[in-house]
Amino acid sequence: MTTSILSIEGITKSFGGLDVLKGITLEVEQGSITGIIGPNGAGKSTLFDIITGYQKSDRGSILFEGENIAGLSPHLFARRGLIRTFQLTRVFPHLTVAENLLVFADGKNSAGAAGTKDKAVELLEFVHLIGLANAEASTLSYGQLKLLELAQVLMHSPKLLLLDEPFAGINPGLIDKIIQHLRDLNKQGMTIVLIEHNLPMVASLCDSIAVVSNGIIEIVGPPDVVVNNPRVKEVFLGG
Amino acid sequence: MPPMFGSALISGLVIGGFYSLVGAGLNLIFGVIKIINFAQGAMLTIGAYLTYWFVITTKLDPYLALPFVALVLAFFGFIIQKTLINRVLGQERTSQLLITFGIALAIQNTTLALWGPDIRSVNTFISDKTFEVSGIRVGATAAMALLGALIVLLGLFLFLSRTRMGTAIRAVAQQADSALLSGIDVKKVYAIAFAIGSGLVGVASVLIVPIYDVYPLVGEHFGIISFIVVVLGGLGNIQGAAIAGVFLGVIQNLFAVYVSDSLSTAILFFIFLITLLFRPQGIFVRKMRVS
Repeated sequence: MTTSILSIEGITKSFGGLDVLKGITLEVEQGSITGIIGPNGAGKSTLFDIITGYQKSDRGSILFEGENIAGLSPHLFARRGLIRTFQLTRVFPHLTVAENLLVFADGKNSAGAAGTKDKAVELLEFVHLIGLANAEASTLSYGQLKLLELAQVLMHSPKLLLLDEPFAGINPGLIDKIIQHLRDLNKQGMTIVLIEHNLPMVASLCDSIAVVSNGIIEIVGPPDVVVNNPRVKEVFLGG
Repeated sequence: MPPMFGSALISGLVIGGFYSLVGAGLNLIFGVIKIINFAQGAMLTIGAYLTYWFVITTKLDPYLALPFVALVLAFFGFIIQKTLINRVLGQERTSQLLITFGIALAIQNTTLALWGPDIRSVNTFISDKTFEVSGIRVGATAAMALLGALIVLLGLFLFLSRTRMGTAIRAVAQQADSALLSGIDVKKVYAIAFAIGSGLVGVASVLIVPIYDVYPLVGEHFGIISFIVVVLGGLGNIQGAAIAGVFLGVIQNLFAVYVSDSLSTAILFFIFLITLLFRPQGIFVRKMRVS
């Protein structure tokens, strides 16, 4: 029997009379990889903002591991094991690449400071940024910033990882490696929800896909069901 | 080195040390919390009176008051941030600007009510001691002030660059959203930054008291000059503020000795205007940016 790590129920959000989310309901199963797709402006990033406390919903509830987390400050989400990336990267520009990772260390590494450092080195090697460990983050390219942001959140060893367009601007050769790493982390128990525009990639990676359009979830289900849906074919695959 | 030039230089370095301490504190607060603390000078007044009160009550040397005054002011800053400033963050800019101005006025009027307008002075066991360096006579209190400022500023740089909390402070200053994401309690870091900025003023006030008289507006001059320090050093640039403070102190004293004593403060405001017009980002390298 599967259990939900995240239960979103009837979330609505308006900005100055514009209804961005009109009642989003979604269950994210523990240990799954869920993809959220939809056209630009559909409300995907707003949903992430609300889940992680960066914005407040007008109505609805969000349960993380069975506990209502609405109204919590964003810094408490990370401490509970829920962490996200942003569509536009928000790293610390005048810290070094290594310092950017160390800020995200949860301080609970059983191997202490040395273990934290080892993990940072391992992640920097993985995202091919080890040679830039002492460079200021402001000197990195957009793709490198996306990789740094990914390494930051992985530094935290979250239970639930929300990734907002994690592959945008990244070298295609590295994308396959990152996908494999996400699969490995998922096998180790990490639940992943990602927003992505590349439907074939989402279909190959995810256990479940939710299609957001006009502020509601139009379809949710296994990749083969969603990909073969005529409406999805029309919007994402050009019929 | 001509003795007159040497003396002016030493005096400039000493007053510059005070400017650096107060300015670095102001810049730390601005860099991290993005508010302008108009109460920085008034906090120095509190520190000066606390030192005076410590000496009168305990009969001990004023330098022994340093940990006490620095900690009391740091705690005071922490409480101000927690109870007052955190409440107006995110509100309109005017509220944020006026709240520290209001705190400054409250402090000035309270000190006036408690201690009156009388000018008081405090002596230390080294008040009348001097020593000679390359033919230049240096007061022991001046040397102590310079040394104290240097040690504290060095400690601040090391704290910000080498410790976990220092890195967290810099992270919050640069990208508060991501700092929240990493699990940092941003509002607590704001309060810690305000406490450190206020603690620096506490150190400055103890070092100032053996040299300057204590009266309700003693901090005002240093508070105003600290804004020039911040602009010259670059907003959010702690190292720039430290260098700018010393630079301004030296310029002010050399100008007083060789050009005009009465215009020696005015020259600082002239530098302030020129900097704002032609190099608003500050004139020093951005080595220790918190923001």
